[in-house]
Amino acid sequence: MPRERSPITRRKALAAGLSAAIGSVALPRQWFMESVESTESVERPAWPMERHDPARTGDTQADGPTEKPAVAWQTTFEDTDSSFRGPVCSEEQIYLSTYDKLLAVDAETGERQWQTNRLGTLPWTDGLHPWNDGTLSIRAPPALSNDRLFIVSGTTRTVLYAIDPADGSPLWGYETNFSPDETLVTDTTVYFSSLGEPLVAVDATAGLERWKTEAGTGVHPQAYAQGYVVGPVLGQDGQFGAVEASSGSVEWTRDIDNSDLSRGPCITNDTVYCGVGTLCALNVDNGSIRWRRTVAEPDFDLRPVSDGSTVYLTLSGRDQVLALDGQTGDVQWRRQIHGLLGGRTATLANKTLYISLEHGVAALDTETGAERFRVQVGEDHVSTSIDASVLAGSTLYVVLDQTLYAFTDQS
Amino acid sequence: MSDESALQNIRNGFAKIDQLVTLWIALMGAITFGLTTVLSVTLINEPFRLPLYASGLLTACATFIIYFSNSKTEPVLRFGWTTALVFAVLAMVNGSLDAPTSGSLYYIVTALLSWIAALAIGCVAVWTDDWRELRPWG
Repeated sequence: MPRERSPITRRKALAAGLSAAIGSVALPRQWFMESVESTESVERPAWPMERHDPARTGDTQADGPTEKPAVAWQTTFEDTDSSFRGPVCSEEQIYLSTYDKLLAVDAETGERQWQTNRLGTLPWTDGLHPWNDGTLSIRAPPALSNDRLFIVSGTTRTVLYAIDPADGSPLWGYETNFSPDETLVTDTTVYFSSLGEPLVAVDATAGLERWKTEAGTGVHPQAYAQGYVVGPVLGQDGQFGAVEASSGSVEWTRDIDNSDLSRGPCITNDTVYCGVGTLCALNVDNGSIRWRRTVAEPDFDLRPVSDGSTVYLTLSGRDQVLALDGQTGDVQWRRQIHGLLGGRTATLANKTLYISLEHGVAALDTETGAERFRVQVGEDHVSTSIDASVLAGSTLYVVLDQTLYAFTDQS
Repeated sequence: MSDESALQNIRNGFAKIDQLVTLWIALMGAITFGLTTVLSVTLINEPFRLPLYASGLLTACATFIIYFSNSKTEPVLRFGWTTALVFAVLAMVNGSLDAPTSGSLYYIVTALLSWIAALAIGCVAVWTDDWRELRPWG
């Protein structure tokens, strides 16, 4: 009886091998990545990152409280021994971080949804890491974009993680060989850099590297708008610049005093507002200076927020809040407020400016600077320093030490 | 037992160990190399070089199974070296050998395709002594 021939022949096996080989080498990365074009805007009821959006306007367009609000709920996380850093919010959840912990809280009730101090694919390997190498060491507050939560974590090795906000599980991790000191998240791309290191752009969906500059070239990615990433130029003191978001090529640089100290540019209406001591308004397309205004001491880091027509500054050393005309830089109003906190940025919504104070938040009318209301929190706390106050939807969230407060209109 | 036969027994024992080690090295090239890479790009932040140990364990099991089934060593060696070589070249070219991102579908797919290609070409290498037989024109 003749032997049956195997359906798999040597030629078929070779064809399969060669096809897989060609596929593995020629597989287009673009199939897995989003297009690089990003938007500066953010869905209305969310506060997804520091100063609200990639342009760092601090302006939510939301209907925040305009009269003295009441505490809807407050939650203290007693099992956490360090203070929380800047919350970010989606419509449903609020995300908080300490240096070694990340947690999500229900926006309606304040109940904890999930918490993690390690990000790993396999849950049963928790606690197996030698020398706590795998536990979180979060370097900056989280940022939320396109249904992904981003954090940079690590001590011996630094990893940029994309996390599923629903349950805190990691979606991908991009390992860097340096520790980023600046991270900017847009809806398609995550940019990060460090002094003496390259500026790197990573696709937010797949975690694939889009481009990387030469070490020490590019900018610290601090704000994004209209296809440009802006910030102090890497390795060049006093220079501020913009790179093309799609390629990383330097578009323009401008000499402004102490720009390397500036942590807070904001972009609205084709204009970048940035500076240290002196606020500069630069054309985002070519870097030309529209106006300059000295508002504080030469080493005072300015963190402007803007609704497009007006730029607002909180000067904690002088206990002053300032409103400048966005077109001319003229002072529209100036208000003395005692107990302003340094290093905090204001929040803008519905013609109201919310500013962080010791033990509280004050709300000012953006047109006149008149105080609308003031709320006090945590007077029994040892710390007086509000870490952050952000607005998502109609709720004002305030973090003090390990406590999160939610304020809503009393009506 | 004479001295000579005892010596022969020892020699036979070493010959068997030699065969075991050869098999193990061959299968490292075929299994450990590829599977470690696939697991490394799939698993995010796992401890103790988990992918390496998991695939190493699988390789050890395969080695003992082949060793005790008294299969010939030579074809396994040929399969192992071919697979390792093809995988190394492909994974270096497509970047999955040193992928910065774990959990990314792109690297998972490219690493898997590289390993499948390497295994298939490894099988062909065992199957044939003369590659000219595989030319499409006969």
